[in-house]
Amino acid sequence: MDWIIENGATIAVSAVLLVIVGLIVFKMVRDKRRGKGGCGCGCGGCAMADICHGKNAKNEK
Amino acid sequence: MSNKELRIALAGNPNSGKTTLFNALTGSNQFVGNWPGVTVEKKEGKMKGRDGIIVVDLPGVYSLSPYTLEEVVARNYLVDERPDAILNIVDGTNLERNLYLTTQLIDLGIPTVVAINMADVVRKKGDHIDFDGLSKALGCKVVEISALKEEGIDDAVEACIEATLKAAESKKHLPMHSFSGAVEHALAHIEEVTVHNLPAEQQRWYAIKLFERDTKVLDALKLSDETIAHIEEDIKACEAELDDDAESIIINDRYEYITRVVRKCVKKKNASKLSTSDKIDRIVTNRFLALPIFAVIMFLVYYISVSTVGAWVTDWTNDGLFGDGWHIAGSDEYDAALDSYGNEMLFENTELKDIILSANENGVLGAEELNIAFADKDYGAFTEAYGSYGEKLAAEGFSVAEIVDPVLEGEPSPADYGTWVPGVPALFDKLLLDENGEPVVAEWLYSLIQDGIVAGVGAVLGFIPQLLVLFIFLAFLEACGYMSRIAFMMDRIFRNFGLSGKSFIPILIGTGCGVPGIMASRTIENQNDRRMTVITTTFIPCSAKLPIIALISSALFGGAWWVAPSAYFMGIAAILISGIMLKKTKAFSGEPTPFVMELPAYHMPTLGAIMRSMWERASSFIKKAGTVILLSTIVIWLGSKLGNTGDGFGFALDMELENSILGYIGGAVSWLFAPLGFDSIKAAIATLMGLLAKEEVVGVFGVLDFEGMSALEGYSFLAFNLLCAPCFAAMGAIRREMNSAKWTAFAITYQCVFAYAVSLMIYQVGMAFSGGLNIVGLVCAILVAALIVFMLVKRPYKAKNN
Amino acid sequence: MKTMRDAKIKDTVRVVRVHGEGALRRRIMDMGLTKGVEVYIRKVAPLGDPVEVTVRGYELSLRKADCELIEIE
Repeated sequence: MDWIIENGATIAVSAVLLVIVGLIVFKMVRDKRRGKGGCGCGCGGCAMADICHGKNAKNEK
Repeated sequence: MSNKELRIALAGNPNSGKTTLFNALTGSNQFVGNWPGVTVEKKEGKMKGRDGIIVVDLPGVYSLSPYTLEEVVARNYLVDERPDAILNIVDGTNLERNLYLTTQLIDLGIPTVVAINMADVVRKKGDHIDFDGLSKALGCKVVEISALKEEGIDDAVEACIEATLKAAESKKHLPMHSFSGAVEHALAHIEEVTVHNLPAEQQRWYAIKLFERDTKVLDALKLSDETIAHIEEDIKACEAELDDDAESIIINDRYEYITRVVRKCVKKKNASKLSTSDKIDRIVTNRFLALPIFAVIMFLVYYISVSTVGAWVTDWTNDGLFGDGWHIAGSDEYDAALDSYGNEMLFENTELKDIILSANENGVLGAEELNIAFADKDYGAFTEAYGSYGEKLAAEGFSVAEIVDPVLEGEPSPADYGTWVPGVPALFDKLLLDENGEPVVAEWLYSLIQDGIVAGVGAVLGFIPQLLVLFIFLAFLEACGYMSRIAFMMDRIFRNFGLSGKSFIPILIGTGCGVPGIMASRTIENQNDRRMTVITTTFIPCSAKLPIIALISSALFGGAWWVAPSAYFMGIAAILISGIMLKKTKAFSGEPTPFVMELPAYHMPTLGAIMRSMWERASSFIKKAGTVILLSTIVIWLGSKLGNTGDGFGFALDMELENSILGYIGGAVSWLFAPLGFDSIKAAIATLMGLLAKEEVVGVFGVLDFEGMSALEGYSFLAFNLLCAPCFAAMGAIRREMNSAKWTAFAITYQCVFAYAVSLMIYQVGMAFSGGLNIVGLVCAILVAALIVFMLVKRPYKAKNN
Repeated sequence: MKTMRDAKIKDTVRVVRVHGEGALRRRIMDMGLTKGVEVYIRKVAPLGDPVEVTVRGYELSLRKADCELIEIE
């Protein structure tokens, strides 16, 4: 019990950090499932967006 | 039921403004550029503010011929999926060629509305278009729009809906245009024997295509040999009568018809004086000036974004926002305070002076910088140089840490002078440290947040100002129409070297990001040329590589003006040299692709469009820093703290890099880079992580502290990282475009080997000149150079039977 | 046979027919280089090739090798 009180801040901050990391991983996995690749320029601005996540993307796999 | 949804297809010539209209109608933000072939695939979107209307953006085509990839995409959609209506966007400044496509679209029998775009430009020129006359002559509604200013677009959609209703009532609508007697006679015959069982409105298109002997239609209709022979007789008879082949007869007839229509409906003011486009063209595609102008433009783009405007702001983001903080006012006072502190504590110290002097005499890296700063009594420069090279000095036995470190500890705090705004790390400090400067959380957690995440992500985000400037330039170049001029100018060089001028367009897109660059190679018809373009496109520094360039340029070259532009021109040279070499091999030999390309008129892009394009790119860069980069900084931090603690495997905050997991991994591969001059663990790790995303290179140095390198080592490191295999995303794109594991492997291997060869030459030859001659290395470099020269001058591969 | 390759800069020529076959020929004709059309030879690219011509009111660039397929008066 003392240990928890002593390290309260650490536990709280780690929890926050874990949640952030969890969210990022979740988002990345979801994007991957939706077929959004890791293209560095964002796919909305990409001339070939349809290839990555249009109808064709599903056919390819 | 799909009946409820109305599908409107946007069709038109390349570069006529379809995608701009599509964005205006759907409120999406698709990529728009001023060169033909920006859209290669079709895209769908729901119309903004109106339910039940789906807008389909088709690739721009000049004709519905069965030859190029884009034409086939557009044609298959129109013929097989038959949208409810076609909105044909016509560039008003170029009616004749645009209406040629219109005649083909009308023949399809789908309700069509012609939207004349850029009519304001036409009016400005003093020409007059008779819309009603045009509408009567074409037999379909003609409206005026401005896609850019979003004027008239609702009316155009309204007209489409009307047209579908009208078509539903009257069923068969006949095109107003008829071919010459002999052709119509043959068409009537063909319709009767082959396609009378198809819906009435589709018969004519099929008949015309059969007349043209369109192979795709012949295959699709599965006609019996007997029927084919029968219609062939009709075609032959007609060809004999008109003394031409069927394809030309149709094309000529369409164009003649259009010429008549345009003559009747358009009153041209005699435009004898040069248009603005002509004037610009006269200079930028001038015989002698064109290439220098291109070089100067690209030089300026990189120089301004990396070395000037961008760098000023980046200094602030790196040292201020993601550093200690910055002064709003009173920075002079602080500088003065620092200098007097330095004078008192450091520059009087003769012991220190002697050590640095002897280190300099022994040629220790960085000692010269320290010496100069010492002589100038410049406290800021001295501490910066000490930060970069202190360890190098210590390693050579010239440690000044005992003297300098206590001085650094006691230096005046900037927060005491003027108005001081703390940076992000300082803000985190406020949260994580108590009043004694001790972390309130466990020390490992404090280190993870500050040394890992904040340092790593901050290092990457710090380059955003430079990227924003680059993105503005790219958006402008893409939108204004200069790109196709570059392709025009480069065609000759590229063709000599085995690439088509068209290969230059993927390369230009690749300046933003390699992935769409690689994909844009689809516009190249010839398979060999396409493969070669895919292999070479990523040699051009993409925006993710810009931070590496900026880092090396500012940290090792003091922001020298030539470093960033040289990286770009190195990319171009790499493409040309690779093109020549590969073309000489058996796999790539062959005739160059034809180059028949329209040169669009210049136009001034709107500020909004440029800002949108910039923001689109910047926001995804930030997103990437917040996801992939953030996660990997944690992994790197962990990797550098886990390892051999001296008594077995374990975790230690003060782990020496050499003993950590990262150290072992880096050490295992770093020997590979020794001939290139950067065999340190950090450089090796940075290069490896660069494969994940090129921004990682900077992120790694953020977590692990930048390694002091000599300028030559740094440049060699830069060259290797720019030219070697791209990030995973781009490699994935290469695999998709090559559609073959063998070719993908070849592409990536070639890129790595080429990068290695270039770095080797830079470093070894550089060393030979700067007195660090290594005979074996130099001989290797010369051999590599000789091999490249041999490939360049060797006679091209020719097939034996040729 | 006189082809567009023989035409000089600032010449205005009239097309008689397009030779060759397949995609390239179709492409040239689709771009408006058909029988009877007037073509103005505008300029040659900095390195001597391709050429830029004005046809039907717009600018088109094509290579000298492709110009050889276009017969002129």
